[in-house]
Amino acid sequence: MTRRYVRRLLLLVSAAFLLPLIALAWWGVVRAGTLDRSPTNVRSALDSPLNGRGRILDRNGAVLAEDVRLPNGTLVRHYTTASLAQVIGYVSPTYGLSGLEQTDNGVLTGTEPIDPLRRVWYDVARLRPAPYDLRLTIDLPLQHAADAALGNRAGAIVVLDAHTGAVLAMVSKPDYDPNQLDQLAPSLLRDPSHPLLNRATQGLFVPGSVFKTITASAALDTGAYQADARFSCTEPLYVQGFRIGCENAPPGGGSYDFALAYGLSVNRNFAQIALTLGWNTLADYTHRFLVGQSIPFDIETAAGRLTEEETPRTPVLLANTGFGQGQILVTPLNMALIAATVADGGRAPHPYLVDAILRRDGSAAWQHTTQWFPRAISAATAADLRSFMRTTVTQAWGKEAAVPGVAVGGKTGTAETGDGQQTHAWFTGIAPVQDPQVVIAVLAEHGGIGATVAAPIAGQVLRAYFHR
Amino acid sequence: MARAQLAVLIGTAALLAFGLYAVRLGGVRFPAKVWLACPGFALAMLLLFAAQRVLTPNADPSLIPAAGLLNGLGLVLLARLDPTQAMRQTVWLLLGAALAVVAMGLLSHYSRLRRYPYLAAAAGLGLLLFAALLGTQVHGSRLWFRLGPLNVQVVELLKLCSLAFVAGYLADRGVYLRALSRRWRNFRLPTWPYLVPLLLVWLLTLALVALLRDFGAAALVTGVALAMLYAASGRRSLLIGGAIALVAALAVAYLEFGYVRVRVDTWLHPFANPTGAGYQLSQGLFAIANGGVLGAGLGYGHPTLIPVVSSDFIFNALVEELGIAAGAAVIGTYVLLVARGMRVALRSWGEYARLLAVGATLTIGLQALVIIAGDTAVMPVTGVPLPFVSYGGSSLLVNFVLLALLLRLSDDAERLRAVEPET
Repeated sequence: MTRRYVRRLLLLVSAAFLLPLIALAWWGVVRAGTLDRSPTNVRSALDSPLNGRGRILDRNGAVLAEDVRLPNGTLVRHYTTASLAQVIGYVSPTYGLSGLEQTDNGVLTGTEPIDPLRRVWYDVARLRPAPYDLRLTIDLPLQHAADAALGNRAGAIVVLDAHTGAVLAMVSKPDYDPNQLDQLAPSLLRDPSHPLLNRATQGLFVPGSVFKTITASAALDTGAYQADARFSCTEPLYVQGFRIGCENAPPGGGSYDFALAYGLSVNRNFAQIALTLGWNTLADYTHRFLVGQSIPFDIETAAGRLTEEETPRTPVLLANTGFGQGQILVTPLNMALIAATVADGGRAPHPYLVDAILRRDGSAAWQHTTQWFPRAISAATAADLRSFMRTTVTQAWGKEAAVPGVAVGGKTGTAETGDGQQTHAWFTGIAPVQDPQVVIAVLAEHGGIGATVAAPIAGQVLRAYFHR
Repeated sequence: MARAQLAVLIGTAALLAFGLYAVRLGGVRFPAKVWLACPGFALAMLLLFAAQRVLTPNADPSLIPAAGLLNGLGLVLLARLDPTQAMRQTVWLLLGAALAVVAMGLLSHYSRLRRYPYLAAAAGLGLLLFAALLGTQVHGSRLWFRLGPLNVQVVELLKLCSLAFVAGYLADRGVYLRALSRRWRNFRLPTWPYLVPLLLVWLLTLALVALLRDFGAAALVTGVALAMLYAASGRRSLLIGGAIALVAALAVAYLEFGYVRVRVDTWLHPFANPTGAGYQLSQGLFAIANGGVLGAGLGYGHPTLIPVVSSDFIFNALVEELGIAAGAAVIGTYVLLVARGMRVALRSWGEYARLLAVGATLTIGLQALVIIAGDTAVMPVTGVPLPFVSYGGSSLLVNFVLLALLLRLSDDAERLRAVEPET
């Protein structure tokens, strides 16, 4: 044994100790901001719940959430709008963070956007970074109108700017008073109607006939059907013994055009279209319309699905899927994006809630820029669908969504849930169809008929938008 | 020198008292009894210091203060994390100091141990078998067995057996083994007498993994044995071959044992399953992020969110509340300990003494390296305690024995150097 070897060993071990030192700098400085924002990291919630957070504002600067000082001097988080409870979320020492309060916690506490070096300086100098404010895309008067229109029905409403994807209103019912969260949480968590769930982004529902927008798009976009195709229904369709009747078809047994088949929502015709297109084409278009994909958004979203995993894809299931029954599930946000795809010429913009991150002086530290999903359908197909939607409102089930002076288009849906409860009432709409400004998705959970329940709600919200 | 040493120890005791006060200021309410850690610590350190002055007066003066600093820091952290453990650890510390004094006395004849390497090997294998058959499981690993009122950690004792065996074996054959070597193309291959202990140790590793379900300890024992082999032979091929064997063992363990697979997968993707298998590591890394450069302050972080924080992840608790600065200081202290321990080896006379010094030093140093690297996701988490800092009686006692051995070796080396000039 010579000394050389011992010296080399010492050198080797000392050098190895450098690795954890580098790792400390990596996790504790370089990656620290990302780790702080990680959804499973409750430390930030435990440390800064009600402690000098930034404000959350609507698109016109109306306050949605801010810290207020109580007479005894303590700061508490105050929320002005209960209908945004699940969107904005909460900060609670017991229940942690949720909604935008969670996903934008770093911004609201001022630790993001901040570069690692400055972070070190703030740490060493024991400085507290100034919090940023969030300016949302929410239009508070429209939000209130949507809240009032849904009333105390369970369900959701999503209103998007048709070209930018900005969320103008987002309601999920039942909601709760976020100012009382700590007291209410035990009962909210037990409540079978799940008030804490954001139905608009995370509720998965059977779409029923509103899904026909996808089936019709696939039929036109592949060229399998032309927009002037004519349909009729004289006898029921039997698929391997499964009967699909002529419900909703115009009486008299004559033929009618595609737009009316869509607007009147004749299941038999759409079952036939689905069978003609086949599973692969229908699955492809369902995917293009984002069902089953994770939708990038400022708060958590659920992905939807075409069928349960490992279900045999039978002709019966295909026929049912064609008119939105089967096993398909979607979120209301997804439904609004389907309407936005049709409205914006075949590709939907990414939806977003945070328009800008504002410094205390009101200048923007960051501003949203519009991004688009990959094109789903051609511009021509989208234009055909818009005229179908207009027909629905002028001549068929969508009449109750009409707004004087505005060419509203849409699609109704009455989805059977298969659990013996009432149907879901759906409406997805575009207005005005010739130059769309907004799209809307309305869901009344177990609320009844789309045409009589959901369409009037959509009409009420759209009236508030156009006649303010 | 003695005065400086005493000053450092008094400073450490003051640091402990100040640390406990800071924990108190941080809002952690611990029972008043925890303050007894201060006199307990001071007593243990005085005992060690006095014994060293009497029994090993020429020994390296930095070893006890370095261990004391780590111990004091450990007590502060335990008072913060789990005051009951802080009180128990104080008792273990006193016992450890007493054991170290006894060991310093008994080990004056350590060279006699050299005659019985196979006895040490047999004792180690016996322990292993005993633990495999009768051991109790803690956290899924069969690492402990009950000895009256005590839970003894088998692996800790195995470290001592392995050290005694490898040092004795290599010291006996070293000189004549080095002369022999075979050639294969351009490589000088080790002779069989070298490979046999290597294979034995490697088999022991696999046995540890299979029987005790503890890969970390196995890797540690193997790593120390390999380093000693390298020190004895200077063959880089042994170090590289051993590393390959370790990786191969890890690969086998990965395929065969679920718990190893979980740890490796968690290391590769710490945030893939943050509420399940990855919970401990991801929370540990969140703690580092929360700590930053100077830390949240004692009592102001949330280290108790990390499961088993007071043994496996005490380093992360340290960084969360006292910052990367404190983490670097602790790493520096271990490097100092390793450097001084290696210096003992460099100044020692005779193969056996040198190998013992290298082995004892690296048993502490590599263990610290392995756990700190695991805590910072540099390598998979192994679940070995941080020497002198983590809560754990067996580990503390064994580390004090190793410290006593180093002090004894150092004293011998310096005394011989005073008699004989440098070669």
